Amino acid sequence: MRALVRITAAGAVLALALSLAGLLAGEPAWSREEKAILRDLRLTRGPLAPDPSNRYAASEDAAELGGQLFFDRRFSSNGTVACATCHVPDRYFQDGLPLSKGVGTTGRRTMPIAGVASSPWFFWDGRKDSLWSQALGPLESPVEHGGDRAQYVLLLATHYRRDYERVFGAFPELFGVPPHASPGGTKEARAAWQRMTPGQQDAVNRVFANIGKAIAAYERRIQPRSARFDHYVDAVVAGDSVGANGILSRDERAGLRLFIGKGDCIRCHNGPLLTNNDFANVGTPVRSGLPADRGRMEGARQVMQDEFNCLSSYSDALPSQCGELRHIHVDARSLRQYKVPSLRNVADHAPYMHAGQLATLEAVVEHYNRAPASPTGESEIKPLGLSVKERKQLVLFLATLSAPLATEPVPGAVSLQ
Amino acid sequence: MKPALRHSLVAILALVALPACVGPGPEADASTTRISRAGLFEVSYTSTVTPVPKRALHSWTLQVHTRDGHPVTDARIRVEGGMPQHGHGLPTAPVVRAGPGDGLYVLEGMKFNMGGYWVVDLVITSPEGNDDVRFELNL
Repeated sequence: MRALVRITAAGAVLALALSLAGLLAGEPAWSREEKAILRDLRLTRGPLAPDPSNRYAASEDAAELGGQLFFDRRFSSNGTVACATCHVPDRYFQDGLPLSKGVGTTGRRTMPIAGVASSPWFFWDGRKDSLWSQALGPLESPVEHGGDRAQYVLLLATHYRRDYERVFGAFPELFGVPPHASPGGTKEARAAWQRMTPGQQDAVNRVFANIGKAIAAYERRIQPRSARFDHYVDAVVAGDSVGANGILSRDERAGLRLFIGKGDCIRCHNGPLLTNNDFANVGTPVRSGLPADRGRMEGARQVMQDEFNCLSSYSDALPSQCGELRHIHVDARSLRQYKVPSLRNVADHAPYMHAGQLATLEAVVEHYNRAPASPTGESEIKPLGLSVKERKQLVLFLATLSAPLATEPVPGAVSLQ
Repeated sequence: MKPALRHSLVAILALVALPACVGPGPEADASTTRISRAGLFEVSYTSTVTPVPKRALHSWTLQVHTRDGHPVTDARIRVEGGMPQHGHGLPTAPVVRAGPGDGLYVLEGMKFNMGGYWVVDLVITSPEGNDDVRFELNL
């Protein structure tokens, strides 16, 4: 017994001595408040956030159909563009380009989609308020898929009728629906839409919304996995400081300390996905050649008027379940605000910012360190005063957030790369 | 345990416990019942989700009484607030509607998008008078 006490005491002394050594070497132990912050950043596995606006969100059949549509290039004006053209599975569902390229070139960077199902807002400017409604935007964008809703609904009826009906019930009568029609497409498509009856328009809109709901059911399954950072926090929370220090290097730990301290990164990049799902103006420079961009100011206006928003007749939610939209906040500060992206796998997502203005993480950290004035509106960040060494440590820490994604194979789906 | 070893442990513990790393920021008076600024009302809140969550929309139930204990009915209540240290307001636009009883109100659309020190100001306009009250939270 006495021997056991001696061993235990010796172990305690050793652990304390290690902590002291760390302290003397300039690395204090995490405080109670800091540990609480670290726990808040740790990836936790649990049920996905529900989406009351999509009653098919958890349907296996819907996800299978959505996965096939995600990779199907026929859903474009020229037969060459699918969702997976920009959201490339082998590249964390993004394309590595400054600006997305569909049938044309967009004015924005492709957003990674892992874990995005838990977000209340979609696109860099939050102009959509559900994952299913988001999926409809690029389909009709003239520079992304370039097609129109009548075309897609007819394609679905031809190639996916049985799969569709297994999820959504009987296909509506499409007799008389023109091959191309949309309320927002080309002049010809708009004219064709106007010639359709209200019943035909509603039938096409309903199937079109269901295309989005199936794609969303698939995308919801694309989730980040625990990275080295999470394993480190697990060890810290368990009180295993020796084990923890074997997971992250000294510089990575210093970077983490900067991330939650001097760097003030957690002001926006908080929670398990390292985003508060909100919008911020961080003074990102203008990318030359792009039109004026008001960011969230314009996105908020659009989502409130969106024909497929949570309060629309194509949503499955009760109005009381549309709290984010009903309590949307927009004011002068919304000008040139953009969505705070998740930092999961951020080291694999270059280039950065809403139009790929910054090529590397080093450039991003330097941007935050300098905090230049915003081209329009008011930047919310202040200079950080980080040394060269601290900037390097912050970048090293960000790489500890990388891990392979959790995705389930989709039968019949083929990578486009 | 030998006294020398015990003393060493105490000394090491004292050294390790000394440094406080990141400060917790201003200490919030987290009372959920407060007297309004000019002393007209006693106001309390209860969150529908406890503890008050981060990054999730939720509601509060408010109770508004005069200082002598009478419920304040027909009040109009405007919600303001934010993080004074960071110079930003609330991320949503919460609204207050009459609740299920005299002096009760429902504050809908509340959201806090990060941990730290927050304030929520309720600006009350009522037949009993106008006043405002501040709640502080440390999330």
